[in-house]
Amino acid sequence: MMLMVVMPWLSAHVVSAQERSNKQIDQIKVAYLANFIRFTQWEKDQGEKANQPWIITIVGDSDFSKEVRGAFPNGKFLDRAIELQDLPTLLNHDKNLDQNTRDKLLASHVIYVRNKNLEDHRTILAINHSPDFLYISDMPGMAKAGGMIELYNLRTRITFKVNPRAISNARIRVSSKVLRLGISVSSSN
Amino acid sequence: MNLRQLTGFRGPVWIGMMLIFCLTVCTHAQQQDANPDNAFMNLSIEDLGQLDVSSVTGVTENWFQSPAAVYVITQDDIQRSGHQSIADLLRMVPGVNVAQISSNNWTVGTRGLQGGFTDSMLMLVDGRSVYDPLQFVIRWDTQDMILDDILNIEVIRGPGTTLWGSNAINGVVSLTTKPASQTQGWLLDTVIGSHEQPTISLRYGDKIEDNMHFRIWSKYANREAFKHADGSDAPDDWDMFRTGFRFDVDAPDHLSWSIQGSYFHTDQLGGDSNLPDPSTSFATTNIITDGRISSGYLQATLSQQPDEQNKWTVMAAYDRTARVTHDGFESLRDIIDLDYRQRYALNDDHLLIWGASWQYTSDHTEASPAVSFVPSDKCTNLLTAFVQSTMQLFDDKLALVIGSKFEHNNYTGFEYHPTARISWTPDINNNLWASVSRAVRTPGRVNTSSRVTPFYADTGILGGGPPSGILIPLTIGYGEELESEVLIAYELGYRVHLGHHLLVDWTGYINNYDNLITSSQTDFGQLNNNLQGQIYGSEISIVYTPASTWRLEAGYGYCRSFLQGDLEQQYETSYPANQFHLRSYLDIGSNLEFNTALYYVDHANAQQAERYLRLDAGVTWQVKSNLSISLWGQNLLDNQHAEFFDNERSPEVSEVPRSIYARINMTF
Repeated sequence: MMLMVVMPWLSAHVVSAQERSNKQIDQIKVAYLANFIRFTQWEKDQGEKANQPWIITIVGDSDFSKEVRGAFPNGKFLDRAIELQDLPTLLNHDKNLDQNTRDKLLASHVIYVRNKNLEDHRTILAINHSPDFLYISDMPGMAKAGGMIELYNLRTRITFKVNPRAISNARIRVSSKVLRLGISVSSSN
Repeated sequence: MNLRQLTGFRGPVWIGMMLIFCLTVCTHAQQQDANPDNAFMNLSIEDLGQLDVSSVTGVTENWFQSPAAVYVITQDDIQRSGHQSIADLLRMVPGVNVAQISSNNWTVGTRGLQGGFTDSMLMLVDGRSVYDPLQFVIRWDTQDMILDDILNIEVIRGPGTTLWGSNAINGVVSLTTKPASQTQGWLLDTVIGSHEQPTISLRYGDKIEDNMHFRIWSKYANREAFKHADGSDAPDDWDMFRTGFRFDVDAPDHLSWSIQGSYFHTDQLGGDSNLPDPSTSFATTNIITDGRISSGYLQATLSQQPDEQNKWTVMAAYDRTARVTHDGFESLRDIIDLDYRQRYALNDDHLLIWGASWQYTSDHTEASPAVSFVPSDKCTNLLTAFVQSTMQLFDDKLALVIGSKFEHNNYTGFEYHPTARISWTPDINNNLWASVSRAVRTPGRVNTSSRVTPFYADTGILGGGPPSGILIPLTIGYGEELESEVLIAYELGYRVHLGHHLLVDWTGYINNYDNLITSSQTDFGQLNNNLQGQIYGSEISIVYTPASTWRLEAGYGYCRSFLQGDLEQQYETSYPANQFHLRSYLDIGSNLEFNTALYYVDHANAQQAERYLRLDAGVTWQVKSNLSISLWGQNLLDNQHAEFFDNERSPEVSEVPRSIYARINMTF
């Protein structure tokens, strides 16, 4: 009898475990993102620009953008404002990168690509051979294909690969701690 | 004064006071600048890497919500601690006492009752028990590997017997190595210094296909002797060679399998031993010899994980160890392990874990003048089965864990190890948990079959008269009718994030022991179960991150014992009442690290060790992304200090000396 009363009430609290799990995996990735910002220095932040907002660009996943926004409820991180740019894709209908999108990318501190569109990946690599942004993605093989940090599922854990050469070519300084904790990969070409 | 008078209701009152403190802090914490949307934003990059996204509860479980006193040593901790042995790494765990007996021998204890051997904790390496079924201890001299290849070390203080069985009565050390895919390319690691002379590790990893990775590795270590109190060298210098491999395959249908193995050899395990003098009554002769060990294992693991909640794993392992101790005692033992575990989701919020295992051991021993086993050869079987249910309620705010292990062994027959745990996480900044467990430590081969002869005795003197000139061996130290040691453990824990920079993890415990195995004070040291009582204590860990480049971590452990029975005073004072450590990880710029650690350990009368303060400090320069150079000083505050004196095995204590070393770590 007790069970008959309690069970419907309990079931109302049940959320799909799969949905919950996917959401938590995204939250872990956002927490990684915050840590990567914490352990990176940007050349463009020197002098008067040291307190300019963090510009984070999310490519290809507006839900993930919401997760990032929700992670910083007062819109600040490390005493600096956060400016979030949400781009569904990088190339226009003519398969070109328009100037507005290009400017947004170049202004970014972090570009996080969520889709698995190789065109977007190649576009980011081509935009600047010495970029001053941190390029992160969970696209499989992204680090080996010239990206900087690739988040990936390792069995039951989420960890990351780093491409030290890609990072050293950029106008940013990533702490040796991040380089040591990540799995080092080198570009395949 | 009886036990109840001694302890009274001190424990419960003390726990209650801590609970009030916890709830006060909890209320305060809820007023902090919390992030209600993302529970992981307070975690460091190292902690994020430790999150298991499909562990016991079937959904993302992090350490913060686990209903047990768990401490995780990460690879970053390993690199920044400067320690060069697995036993020494455990110094970082609050409340765990690591005492180095000699250059090649350690004892590790938690929550009291520590002797010269680690017999109340279980250690697993990738799920395989390395508990020695002949001596019923963890042998730290054979536990080694390339430290870079460790993914993490999870240490559970308190009973872990429900999942892992007898002998995990006071704690479990679970070491997980990196998969082969994480150790690709070459690694060369060299350590050379006043104690390490040198240690060289070489590893190569590669892939055969995109889903097939392997590594092969070797490690050689030559370690200098410790010091006697007068500054002379103790006879405990040693060297060892170890080599191994690991091969991982991710197969279709969510199957993965892995084969790994290792071989270890030393014929220079320095030490000394007291042997009975057959020509003189109650006299011993000290001999200095090298012990020898050859050991190897092979392990295969097959698992399938169709989704995040369901998984099964089969593990099979074979282990063979041949050992000659300093007193000439020889043993050869073989172990076969078979283990099956399955995690099965009954529904979205109810997970069932069950499993069964079989362990077969066979040993052959050859007596020394001081030690023999009767019978000299023996085979044993250990059969176990366990089931554990985990329920998540109220949007994961409440977790209930109930389970038990059942086993049948050759010494005491049927045993059971039930536990009940509850964890309440009202918000992302607070976690309160409690548990009640019954754990058992069974007597083993060494307790029931060993015969120790410390002296020869004159029959006339034994009879209370004048010497007769006829000497007979005095044989002591075994018990054929021993029962299992039983522990009823009560634990309470609380974790809180105080803002984004401070984390506090507190645990209190009361352990009620019965039937503890001890030596009779009246019957020539025969073993019996005449010791019981209560041990209570507390452990606290505080992590403070004042800046993104600076992390401070402090740990404190308090432990008090109130025992009644044979050798009660010796056991009561076998564990330091207070111990703490403070560690600092400082990044200077992007390529330089300065790491320090201060350890304090109270005196333990039974170990004849005075309290000591130990300071380790090291600087690491990341020259390039694949090359780092470190310089470390260890035990910097004094020339040498004693941590444990085992006067039954050695007439003089070995003291841990001050040491320095340089390390070069290179990958390519």
